[in-house]
Amino acid sequence: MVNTFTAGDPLRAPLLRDRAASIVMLAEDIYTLQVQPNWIAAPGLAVPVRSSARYLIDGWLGLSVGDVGDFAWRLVGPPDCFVAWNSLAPQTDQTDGIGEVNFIRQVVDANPSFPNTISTMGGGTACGVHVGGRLLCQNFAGSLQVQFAKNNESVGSNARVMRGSWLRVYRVDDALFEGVE
Amino acid sequence: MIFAGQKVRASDLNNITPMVAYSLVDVAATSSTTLKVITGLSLPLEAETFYIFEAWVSYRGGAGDLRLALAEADGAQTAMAWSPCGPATNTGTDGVGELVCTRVAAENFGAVGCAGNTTSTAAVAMPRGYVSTVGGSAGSVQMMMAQNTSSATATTVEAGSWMRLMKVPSAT
Repeated sequence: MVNTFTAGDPLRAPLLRDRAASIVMLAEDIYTLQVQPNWIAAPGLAVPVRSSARYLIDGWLGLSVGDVGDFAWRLVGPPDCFVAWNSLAPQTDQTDGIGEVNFIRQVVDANPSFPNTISTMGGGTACGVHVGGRLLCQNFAGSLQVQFAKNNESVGSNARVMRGSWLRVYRVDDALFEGVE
Repeated sequence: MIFAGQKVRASDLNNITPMVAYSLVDVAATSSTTLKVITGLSLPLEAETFYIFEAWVSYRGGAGDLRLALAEADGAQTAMAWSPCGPATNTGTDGVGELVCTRVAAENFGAVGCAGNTTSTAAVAMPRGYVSTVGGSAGSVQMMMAQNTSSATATTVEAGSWMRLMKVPSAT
C-alpha cells in the first residue's frame, strides 16, 4: 500500500501535505483568439509541483469555442519533466460536446506536450472535459499548468476556458510508478 | 496549506478530506420528466467556498433515458457547472454510444444531462464539475433524476451511486 497513514505515525505537517491533493480552480473565464502554437497560459490553472516527485493528474475543464476553429489545449510542467495524459472529450469537427471520443494518450517525454482538441461548439454550448494523467518531475520544481489556443485559423469567436475549471494532482510514492518509464 | 509546527485543527483536516454521499436505495421514475432527489445524494455546503464535484451514477432505463441535475437546497445560493460524461440518448443499446460531455451552464439549476438507453444492462454516467457558494449562502447541493422523455418503462438510478465534493482552498 502507498499513500496511507500508519498507526503510530506522528501527524506532522509534511505528512499531511503529501497526503492531500493540490487543487486549483479558475475563478473567472479567460479567452484567446490566438491559434496554436501561440499558446495562452490559463492563470489560476497552475498547480505547484516539486522536483524529484511523481504525481497523479486529474481535472475537469469547461472549454468553449464558437466556430470551426476547434479548441486545442495541453499540459505543461517544469523543464525536463515527463508527463502523459489524455482527455475524455469528443473529437474535433463534432457538435456541442457530443460525439465520438478521442482516447489517444498524449505521450510526451519532454515539454512542450502535444495539443489535444475537442469539438466545435456552436450556440454558446460548451464542453466539460475530464482530464487524467501522470507527471514525473526530475530536476526542476515549478508548476503543472493548462495552456490553450484555437486549434485552427478561423474567423469569429474566442476560445474560452470557463470559470470553475479545475486541475488536481496527488503526490504519490515511487513504488506506485516503479517500472513505468 | 499546512505549515511545519502548525497545530492540526479539525478545520485543516476537513479542508483536505473529500465529502462523499452514497445512495443506499434505487430511485426510479416512470412516465415522468419531473426531477426528484436521488435519495442520499445530498451534501452540505459552507458559505464562500469553492468545491470540485464528481459523481458516479449507475442507472437502467428504456426509451425514457435519464435526466440528471444538480440543485441547490436548504437556502444555498450557489453557482455551478458540470458535464454528464455518459452515453448520448437514443444512440445504440446497452450503454454504448457517443459520449455526452456537454457542459451544463453555470447558474442553471435543474439543468439537464442525458445519458443512455439501457433496459437490461446498467450504464454509468460520471459527471464532473464545480459548485461555488462564493458570494452566496451555505446550504446543500443534491443530485436529482427524472426520465428525459416520458416512458412507461422505468428509469432507475441504482443504489451504490455516489457523489463527492472537495474544497478548493486556493480558489477562495
